[in-house]
Amino acid sequence: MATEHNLGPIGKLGNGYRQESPYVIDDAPPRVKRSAFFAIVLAQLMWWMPLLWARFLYAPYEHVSGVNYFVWSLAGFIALASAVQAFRILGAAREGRFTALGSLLKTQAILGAAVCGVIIGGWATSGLAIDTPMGSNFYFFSAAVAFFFLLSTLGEAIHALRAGSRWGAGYDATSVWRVENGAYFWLWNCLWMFVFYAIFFWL
Amino acid sequence: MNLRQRLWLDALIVLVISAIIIIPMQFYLFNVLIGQLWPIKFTAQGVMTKEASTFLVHVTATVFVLVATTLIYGAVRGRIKRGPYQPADFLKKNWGVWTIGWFAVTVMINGIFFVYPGMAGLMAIWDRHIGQEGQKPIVVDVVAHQWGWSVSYPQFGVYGVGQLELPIHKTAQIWVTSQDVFHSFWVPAFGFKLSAIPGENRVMYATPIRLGTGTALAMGNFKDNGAPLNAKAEANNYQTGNPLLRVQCNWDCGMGHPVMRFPANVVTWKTFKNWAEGAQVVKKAIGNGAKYY
Amino acid sequence: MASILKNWAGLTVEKAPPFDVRPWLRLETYWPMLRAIMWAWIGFFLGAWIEAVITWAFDGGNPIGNMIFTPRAMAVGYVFAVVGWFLGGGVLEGWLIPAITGDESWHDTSAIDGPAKFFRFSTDYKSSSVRYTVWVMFSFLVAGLFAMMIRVNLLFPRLFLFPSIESYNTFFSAHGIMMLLGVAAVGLIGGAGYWAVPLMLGSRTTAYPKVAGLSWWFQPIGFMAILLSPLVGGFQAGWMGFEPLGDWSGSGMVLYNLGAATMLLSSWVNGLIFVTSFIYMRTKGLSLSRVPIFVWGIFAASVLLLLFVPYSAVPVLMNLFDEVVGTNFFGPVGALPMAYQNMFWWLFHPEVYVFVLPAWALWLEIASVFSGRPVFAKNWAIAGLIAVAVISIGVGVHHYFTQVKPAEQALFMGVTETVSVPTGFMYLSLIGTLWGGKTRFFTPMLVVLMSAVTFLIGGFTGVFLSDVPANFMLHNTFFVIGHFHYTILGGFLFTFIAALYYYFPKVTGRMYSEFWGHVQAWIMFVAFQFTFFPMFLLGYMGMNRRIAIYLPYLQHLNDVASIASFILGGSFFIALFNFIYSAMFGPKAPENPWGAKTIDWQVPSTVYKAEFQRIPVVTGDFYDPDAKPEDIVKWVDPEWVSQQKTGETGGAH
Repeated sequence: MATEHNLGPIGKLGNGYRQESPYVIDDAPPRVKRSAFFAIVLAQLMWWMPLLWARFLYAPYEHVSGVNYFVWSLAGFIALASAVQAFRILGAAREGRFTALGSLLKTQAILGAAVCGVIIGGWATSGLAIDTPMGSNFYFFSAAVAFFFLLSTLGEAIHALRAGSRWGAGYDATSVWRVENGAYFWLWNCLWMFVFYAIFFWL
Repeated sequence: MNLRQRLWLDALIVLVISAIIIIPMQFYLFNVLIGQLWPIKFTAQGVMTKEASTFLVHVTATVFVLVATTLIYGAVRGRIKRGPYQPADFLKKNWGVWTIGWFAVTVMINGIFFVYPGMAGLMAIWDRHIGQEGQKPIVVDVVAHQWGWSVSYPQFGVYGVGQLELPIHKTAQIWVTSQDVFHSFWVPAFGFKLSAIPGENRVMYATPIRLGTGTALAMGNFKDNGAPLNAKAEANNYQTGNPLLRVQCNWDCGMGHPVMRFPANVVTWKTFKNWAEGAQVVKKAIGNGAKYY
Repeated sequence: MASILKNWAGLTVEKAPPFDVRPWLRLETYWPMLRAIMWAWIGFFLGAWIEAVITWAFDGGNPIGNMIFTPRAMAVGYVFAVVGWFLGGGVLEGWLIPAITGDESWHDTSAIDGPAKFFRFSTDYKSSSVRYTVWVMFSFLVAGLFAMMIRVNLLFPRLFLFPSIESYNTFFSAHGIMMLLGVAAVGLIGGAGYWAVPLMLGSRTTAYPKVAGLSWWFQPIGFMAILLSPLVGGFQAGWMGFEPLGDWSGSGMVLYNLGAATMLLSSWVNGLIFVTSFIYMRTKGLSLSRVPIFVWGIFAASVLLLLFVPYSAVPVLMNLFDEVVGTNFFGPVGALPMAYQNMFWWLFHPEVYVFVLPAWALWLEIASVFSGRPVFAKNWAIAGLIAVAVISIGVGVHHYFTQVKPAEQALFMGVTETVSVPTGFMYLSLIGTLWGGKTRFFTPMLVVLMSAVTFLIGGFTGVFLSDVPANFMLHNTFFVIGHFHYTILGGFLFTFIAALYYYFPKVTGRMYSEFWGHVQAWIMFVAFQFTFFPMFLLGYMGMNRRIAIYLPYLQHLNDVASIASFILGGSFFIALFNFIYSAMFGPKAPENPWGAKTIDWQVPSTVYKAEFQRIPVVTGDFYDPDAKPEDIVKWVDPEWVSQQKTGETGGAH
């Protein structure tokens, strides 16, 4: 039996998973990485529960008013476009079109940055006072949405660099779980953006 | 003797040891701790909270001795010299009985505690004011602020004083609120407390059953570091008065939290009326208190 | 060379190789962490300046130099500091760059042995565990010194050590939050959990190794935020940070919110890692019925963390927004101050069970090993752990009975009292494990027994507090302080110390001093009782919490508590010196001194690299006293070894 840090040749670990480098031990195959991520994303529900509760506790019968509807609608449409893009990314990953991922991810990162920027623009152009119950909830909820979109955008930017740049390692069947997880998380954030619109502008 | 017999003998020994500890302990609890040392409660509601605590003390102390004795005896009885691992015997088929038995006993005790002193105590406290003494309560309005109290007796035209005087055997309906941060209105001798929440009014009832004078080293009587201001303040505050008969802020409210306190007194009805007339600020507030009584 | 054998409390131990101090003196051992500290400072000032410039551009007014310590500037600076701390510690080369280029050479630790592996970002859960443990010991020291200062002040009815009541308030607030989030939440889960759980599951990694490696790095910076908050004004609102007091008690409140949120994120990541690893990374043959009970304890705690940390991180962040951005969630006027408490206790009640669930499970592991018996009624114990976790979700209101409606009081009284039933299962299991066994009183066993007795007292005093009539008298008095110190110190801390003694041979490869271990345990236990038992009496006598000065009639009991607390604090130093000295000069530990059968004891000591090349396959019950370790776990070669031997290449993946 070899020395302690003989992880085996690149390409084979004990469970059939193709190991990516001789240095990192990462025994979880892509199946585990995706399934566990579903569990984590579901648990993220708990970030949003108190926000939902607070919105209806503080200003139960009000709708938002005094905001710049054009800018906020624009943010919503860009988010919708990014959700479509996320589906396209998932499709490309599933079908194995790894070289196409680079441009898809780059567009996604730009869309994400646009969502964040437009939300900031929405804050700047809204007349809703922040120290009212409705205002506090509206700005906090939208800040949470923007924050998660920012995180996702950074993730997608890193993925885009990996997929498309000359230093990037590219993706293959064993490493594309990262892209898939990123896309699922993106869709989750889009869901909550739409919930945001529903509870502030509609309900 | 075989393993089973040994284990039964051990169980018997544990019961005997527990009994030896529990019986004198209960005597001590009844006669000394509760009979002599327990702070006296000055309100009917406080008597209920005290009874709740004393019942719990009796039962939990008993259960504690039983469990702790079993645990310690079980560990020590099988003691061997320290050394390498040695497997011990076990009889798995008997485990079910003990497990179910333990579960049943704990559920039973749990149920008892919920009923008494839990719900029974709560209902007694809630219902207290409905009794004879409670039908015409004396309204006391307490407003807490950083870092003092403002007590008002609107029925008597007394507003904004820093004293809590309550007449004996008359239920006081105490309204509590706060002007800024959370506080809590607590008189230790009354046996219960109520939080003062900014923006909300809460009410509690207190029916004093014993006369007493309180002391608290109230603000103005001490220096910034807590030392008494002068010899008179020191003498006044320690020799006379029951320090548990004080209103003490019981929710962390900042710099003045420890010193948001002043004496509470339970006096006779006559004394109370005289005091109220003397402290009356507005003669025609809600009217002359005597008309109500 | 014949090794010198000696008798170490009945076990045969050899003399260990001499301690090599040279790696500890080299700068490159510490370099990633030093760089992390540097980048954190740079990040803080960079962020604060950027925010100040932006605000100055919009609002003008003050000179910029005065604007870098406004609450908002501090908040932005802190976020930059966290990013700088992570990147400097190795996240840059170990995660960010590999994510793009695939170059994982940062993780090539073949050239690193010795202490350098602890001072960098790494995916190895065992070095993460050591980082957690050492950091927890440091946090405990700092927060414990704060406690000593509090007790010194409480020797006399007037202000004694502190210059003002505000400074006292700042110190007890910091003591509370540092102990809870910096010690209790991560001591057993981060320390023993990260060491033992992946090994007990038979896996070489957790489900997300890089995320797991990151979780420790949240702790020091959050802790430092709290520790440094007095420099910017401190916060007086207690460890709970209750509004509206928080807005009016010092601008250190911003750092409290940020530090608490950061330390909570550490716990959240731990929860995430253990839940996913438990579900997905069990080795072959390790069915749920065979999983060791310590893993179940950590799993139950991790489920609570995963679900509820976000729930209470949100009000902490809302609090932050109130101060920094101008929202009005919890102010006194036009807002709902009670909402903070509602949301806050949704995590923080289950949080206390997070502290003790791994402790209870570890009692059973240790008792089983040192009594030579299987865990009694193991399935009931597991059911108890899960039931406590589930019930604990719905009891948070018992922390503020005096503020809620009568209907809520009755309901939550009922639910809170119910949680004592599954807690009882743990005692049932512990007693049954010890009863009729052959008990070897090594220090871990002794301390576990002390922990069980102490927690029992704490648990029973909890019955008083759960009973609403009694609670009306006792809420927010020193009775509560006595209760939670009994449960948290008795339950969590004593077990943490037992775990330190228990795993010391495996982690350091040396044996500690058994004599001094016993001495320390007894001093700690006796001093503890004299420190905290008087607090129950003080509560009834009318002493409320969080007061720097009190009325003189309370002085006698306070003096007893204070002097005993100094002795208690001293006893921890005995343990500390025991560990440090033994880690350097102790005798060599056998591979499995206690005779435990779980996989964490079947791997060689002090192995930090890929410790098992062969995959463990579980074929028996870990708690069968008569089984030998080789009957329980078979080690098989991974398939690439056999393919290598037969010369196969490629193959399907």
